[in-house]
Amino acid sequence: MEDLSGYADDQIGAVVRNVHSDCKASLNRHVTLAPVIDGVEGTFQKLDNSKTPDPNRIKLVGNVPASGKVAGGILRHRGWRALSISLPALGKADTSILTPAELEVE
Amino acid sequence: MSQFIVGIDLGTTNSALAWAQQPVEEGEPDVQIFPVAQLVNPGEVAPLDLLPSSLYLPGPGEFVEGALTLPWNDRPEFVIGTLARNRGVENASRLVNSAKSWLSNQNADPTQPLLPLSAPEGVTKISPLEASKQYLLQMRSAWNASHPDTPLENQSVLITVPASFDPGARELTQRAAKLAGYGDVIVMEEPQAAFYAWVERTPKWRDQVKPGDLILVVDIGGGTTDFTLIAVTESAGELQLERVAVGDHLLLGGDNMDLAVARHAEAQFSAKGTRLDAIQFHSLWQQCRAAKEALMGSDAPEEKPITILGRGTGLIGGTLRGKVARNDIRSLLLDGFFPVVSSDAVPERQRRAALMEVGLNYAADPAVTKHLAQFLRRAGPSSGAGAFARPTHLLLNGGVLQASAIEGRLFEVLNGWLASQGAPDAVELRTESKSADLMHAVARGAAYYGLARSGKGVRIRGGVPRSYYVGIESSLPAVPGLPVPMKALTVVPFGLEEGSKVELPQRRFALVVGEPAEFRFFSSATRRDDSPGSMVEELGEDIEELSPIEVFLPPQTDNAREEVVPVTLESNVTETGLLELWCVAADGRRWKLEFNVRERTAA
Repeated sequence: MEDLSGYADDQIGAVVRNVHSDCKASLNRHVTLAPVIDGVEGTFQKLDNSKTPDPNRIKLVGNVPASGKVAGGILRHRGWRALSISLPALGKADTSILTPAELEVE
Repeated sequence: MSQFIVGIDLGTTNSALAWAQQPVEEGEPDVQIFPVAQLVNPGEVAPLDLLPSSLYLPGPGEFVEGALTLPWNDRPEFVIGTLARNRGVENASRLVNSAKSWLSNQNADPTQPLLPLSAPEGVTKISPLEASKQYLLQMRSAWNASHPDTPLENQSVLITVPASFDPGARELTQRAAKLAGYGDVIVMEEPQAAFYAWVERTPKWRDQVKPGDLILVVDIGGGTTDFTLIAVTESAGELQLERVAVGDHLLLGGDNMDLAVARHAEAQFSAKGTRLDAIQFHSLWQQCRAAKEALMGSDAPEEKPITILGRGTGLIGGTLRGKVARNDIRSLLLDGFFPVVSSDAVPERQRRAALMEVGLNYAADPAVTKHLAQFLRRAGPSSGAGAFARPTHLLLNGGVLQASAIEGRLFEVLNGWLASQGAPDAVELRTESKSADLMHAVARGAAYYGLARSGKGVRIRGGVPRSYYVGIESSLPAVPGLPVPMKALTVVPFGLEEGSKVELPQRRFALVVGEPAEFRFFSSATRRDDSPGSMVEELGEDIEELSPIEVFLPPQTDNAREEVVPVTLESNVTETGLLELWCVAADGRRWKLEFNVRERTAA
């Protein structure tokens, strides 16, 4: 993989714009993403403090009490979940190849 | 003979395990690093060359069922290693780290549940001893999972400790190994292991030193700094090595330097009104560590960018940018930790708030060069003015010292002192293989030393790096309001070697059966000429008090009338490198004096 340490942030930044939109487009094609908690990041989010939250869905960070039961916290990351996944059929492709090498014929 | 010799670096921040096969066939022994399987993410186990010395106490329902499963344990009680370190950033109150620094602590009992210090009410704390045991257990379990026919408990194992560890801390390290299911382990000193690592990677090392040379080993780990002097001598035409001096226990290391850079870099964010939270600060700390390595090396760029990614789903929108400049970092680290000082510099004793954490005796003065000057003065050939040890060679160990600017500064300062004494410059011990792997050197060196012990290769002679005393009250009339003056009886002479013992028949003590007897216990790194049984009349600055040692004579049912037993003292250093003190009765019965790790009450 390319070594980025020699490039300035604005060079990398310009590329990230393309990389990000391409990644987003291909993800959107195959996966329907939705947040785990549909709230506004940075605001307080209530939880049921009679039980510990489902660790699949919620990770508590910061000053977590010993019981692991909390009445809520500041939403730092909404989380992601896939509502649906539809991957293209592979056919007879060699699945070990991620990208073929390219040769331009002159 | 076991099939493998295993060296374990049980570090403050990271641990590593190296092994060599024996017997060694033709040529040089081949020492390898064993990657330790550990959780790196919930549900993901991977073998890594380093095991972070971090332990996390998972809370109820915190991880998905099965996410902590290890190949050898479905439901581990603790998380050890990379996942523990990373999850500890998000929830610091359940993270145990720096357990090793607590083993050699005069202010708290390392067998008591103390950690994590800031655990919330309801979290079951564990002892520093238990944490050390868990790191060793993780390494043993990982080894045994991949070597079912040659389990670690049947191999010859060496565990390294700081040269400045007191006898109690060395014994605790051995006890942790026993609790973790190891067989007899040998405790060896880290700077010596670093020296053996140099020998291991330098096949023609004998060409670089000659009799009369004095090698200074400076070992800066994550949490500790250790100084050791090794003298090169000759006997019957063979080079011999003798460890002649060991520095004080300094809780000061590479982590302090990374933290200093991170605090410096944080200032530019707070100047803009941005307050970093604990998780962002940790990200900054990690980047500063990498930036420090780049900026302190040769051909360093003028500055390194620092990027702290946003924590939420808006990755780019929440990102903070900054930079650290080469000149700022260089002056911060070189002038802060390695200032140019004169050879009579004395470390400050005043505690600095920035380096303090409750309970641990961090070095009060971060200037490594001042501690080094003091060490060389104390290790000088004789006491008196102008006494100063003059090393001819310098061997550096530790990730920090990979930075060429720090290495250069150490040489500059040391050679300045030597020049002012009219002595020639100290030269670096070079190595042909440039792949000097300073992160694993101590573990590798320990494995190599294990081979040396079994006859292959050179062995450093050394013995105990201090002399030890028990306190005896003067038989002067007591003065009300004043403590009885103490004298000190030399029980262990400086340099007592492994496998040898000293008897002290001249002095008898009366012990009462059924009552614990406590002796005050002292040591000195500088009084090297006190012979066993000699009395130090006045306890000066050169003798420091350790935690007391105690013995208990159980009452005997068959001889209920015996109440007082006269005993004499005997000391010995075991083949595994541990100091032991015994009470011996006239009829040959013996009781071992235990190092008391209880909190020392102010006298």
